[in-house]
Amino acid sequence: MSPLFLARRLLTLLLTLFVASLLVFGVLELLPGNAAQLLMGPDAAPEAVAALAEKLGLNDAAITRYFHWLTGLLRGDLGESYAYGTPVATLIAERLALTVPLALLAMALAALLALAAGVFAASRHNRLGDWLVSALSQLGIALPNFWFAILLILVFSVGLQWVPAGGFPGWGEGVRPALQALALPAVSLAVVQAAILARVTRGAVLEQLHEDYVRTARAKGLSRRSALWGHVLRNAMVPVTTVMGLQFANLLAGTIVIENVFYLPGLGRLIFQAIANRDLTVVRDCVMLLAAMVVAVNFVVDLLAAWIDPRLQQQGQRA
Amino acid sequence: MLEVDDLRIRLHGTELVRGLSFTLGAGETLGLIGESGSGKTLTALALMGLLPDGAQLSGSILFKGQDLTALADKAWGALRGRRIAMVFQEPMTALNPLHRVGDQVAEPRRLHLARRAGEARQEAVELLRYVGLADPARIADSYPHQLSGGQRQRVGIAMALACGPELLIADEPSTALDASQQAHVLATLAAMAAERGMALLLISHDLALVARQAQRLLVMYAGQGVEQGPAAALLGGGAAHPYTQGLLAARPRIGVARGERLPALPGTAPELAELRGGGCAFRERCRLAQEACRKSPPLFAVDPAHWSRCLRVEEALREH
Amino acid sequence: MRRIRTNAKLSLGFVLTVALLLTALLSTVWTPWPTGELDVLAKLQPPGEAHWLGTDSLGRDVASLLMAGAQVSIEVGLIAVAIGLGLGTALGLLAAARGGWIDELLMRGADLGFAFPAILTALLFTAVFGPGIEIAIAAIGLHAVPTFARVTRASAREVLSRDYCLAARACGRGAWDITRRHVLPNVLPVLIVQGTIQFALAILAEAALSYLGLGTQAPQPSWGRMLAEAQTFLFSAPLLAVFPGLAVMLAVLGLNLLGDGLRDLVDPRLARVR
Repeated sequence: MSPLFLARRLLTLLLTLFVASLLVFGVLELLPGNAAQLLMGPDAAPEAVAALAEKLGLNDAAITRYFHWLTGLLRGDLGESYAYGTPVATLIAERLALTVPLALLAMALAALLALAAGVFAASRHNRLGDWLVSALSQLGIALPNFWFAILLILVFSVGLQWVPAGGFPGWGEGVRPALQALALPAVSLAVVQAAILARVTRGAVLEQLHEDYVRTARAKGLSRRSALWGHVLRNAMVPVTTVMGLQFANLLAGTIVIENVFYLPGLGRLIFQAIANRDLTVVRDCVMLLAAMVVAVNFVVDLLAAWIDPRLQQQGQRA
Repeated sequence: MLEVDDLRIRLHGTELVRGLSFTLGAGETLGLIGESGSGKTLTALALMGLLPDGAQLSGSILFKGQDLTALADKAWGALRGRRIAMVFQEPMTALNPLHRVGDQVAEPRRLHLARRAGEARQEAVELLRYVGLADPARIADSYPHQLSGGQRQRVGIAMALACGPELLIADEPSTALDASQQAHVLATLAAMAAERGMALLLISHDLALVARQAQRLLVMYAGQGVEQGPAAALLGGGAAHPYTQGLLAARPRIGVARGERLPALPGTAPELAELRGGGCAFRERCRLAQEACRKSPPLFAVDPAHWSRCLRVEEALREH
Repeated sequence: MRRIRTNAKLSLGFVLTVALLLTALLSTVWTPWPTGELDVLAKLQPPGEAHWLGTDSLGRDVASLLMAGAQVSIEVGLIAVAIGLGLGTALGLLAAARGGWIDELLMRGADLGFAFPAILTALLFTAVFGPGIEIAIAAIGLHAVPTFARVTRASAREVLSRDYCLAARACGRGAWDITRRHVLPNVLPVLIVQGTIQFALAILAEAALSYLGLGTQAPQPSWGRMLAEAQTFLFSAPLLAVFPGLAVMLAVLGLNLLGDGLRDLVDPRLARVR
């Protein structure tokens, strides 16, 4: 991989993160009133409020607070949460231990499902199988994931009683119970993603199948299957991976909602609780973290795509 | 080595190749000439078993005694790339943009000759050197988009030659290149064919270009062969079909007086879907056309090795 | 074959979308039962003669709530799409026309915008301003801006590179003139298609936000909130959870199909591999 390309992408990544942090910080600056006041409630004594304000460093200028926050982020020190009394970093780390595996699980499921469906549809182009997959993916895209989750709960928890209807036992109790708790959430997230990805996969595979180099491959003696796996799929993966990266933001948004459906103690629920507690520092840190995750994932996806398709390294291209 | 007899290919209800017959021996180069739409590419694809879905084939194609028209797909896998190979017209799109060139050249050897990756890579570099590419090791590591058109076409040739095929089909191998490279690529092909005793089918729309490399020429028009004979004879004023004569006359050449227009064949090739009834397909554009040409002209032998599908062969030869 | 598929998509999408609009419109003047009417004695009833789709935990008629919920969905969808379209198109045109560093900057900005899904922005705004339907509209609208900007830019660039635009510029026509006469009419079909699709996304997002309690607030009926309430009564009245979600899905499906069908019409080139 060209080092210049890597350096450019890295620079873009850092710049984007920087601007994102400015935005997130900036929005919270719009808050009318005093953050300390909000935290303590309208009935708190003015001296207590002033003391808290001092402690939280709220009296410093905005720029100072911003840099304080930024350096704290980089160091991993996010101060203490007023509501919980624990270091925010610890809090977030705990919650991440649920959100990240959930997101990854959902993405993996979606990818597998989409690949199978997409390749199947492409191989049955314009016949019943293709039409069926297209119809199903239309339904899948329109499906609200939280509704699907509720329906799943209805069937599998209330009806069949295979899995719990919510909650998370934590990883300490063993991997199996934890995965059981994550099963329905992951599936409800995966289905919508899979629908979107299946369409892209199908389109990408079909497009590649019509390319000349497939004919060349067959002229060299490859069977249809070898040509599919060795040539077509690999080339089709580029647009698919790119879309997966773009979809990651939606996936994270989905996990926030799904965590609420299943009462999972993840990052999404933390944000909610923080909002309810008026704990703005936590909100800010969580939102920043989520945005950073999205940007980071897209960065990795960009590199991956460029690795598969070296032509992408040349232009300063726009998708 | 190759015997094609009354090959007919029907696609979407229209017969696009209408009874083509020719032979090709080992070490021989046959030039297949025709304009776009004449059916030459379909013929090439038929020889590789790569006709598009829905194409119907009739007639026989005998490759060393084996009938290719009846071959199952699995059996084709052993032939394609190994004993019969093809070089395609568009070098840019014929190569997989995401694979290194060296890997693509090595692929047939790994597939058919069970070469391991390292060996195959070495052999690929050697092949690239053989087809005339400078710095073959670097080229083997490159991707198609990093090479020029001429280089890519040579890569295509290297890929086709990889397993030492007995029959090589080159479909417009130089059309996508600029003039300076065209003759060079064709000469390379012909030289390799001679060296290896390989039968070479050179397909092109450019008669003059191919004639230099081929021993025999077969001219196609509207899905049929209209003239076949020794290249020297055809070029040297012995063309016995009005169409061939027209093609030759339209060549830009030194000696044409300033202001004098190059003779061009009037009209365009007929839409095969609209060709109904018998009769010579060329009669609408032919300077020698008569009433009698409404009936399909049979083949007339000018020589034992030279035939023309024209009723008025004698006049054609005379007036030329 | 392809033509039949396009028409099927269009027809179905059209029918569903019109049904949605008509339901919303109708609900402003008539619903089977008044939406605000509580009849606690008749709570959690399954579908029956009096209440076609049953009643919720407070005895309100589900069918009426569903109809009224369409109003909110459409309201949010329309305004959010208007915001996204307005801002996004302007920015996209600017990027296409000016090029250079403005283009780079705007496109990087769009990339950044994609990193903030509507829910995230909505959460952030809610933290600052408190929950409300305006928050939902703003968040969803803002999220749509990058998409519209991208689409407009791509389309505008293609138009601007065409010969007649170059000729117009050579004749000395001003940028605004060219934009108005040539670019906009060509960009319009693409915008209509994208607008339909974004409308669908907006309805989906609104439902999610009101499910979380962030969007439409009580007592305004909303499909998302109906689902949230239904979840607590999953054991006793499972059907309550089915209808609101179904409504969302049908609305989104209809708009998606319509948008897809329109896209096939507008750009048959893109429909090449179908």
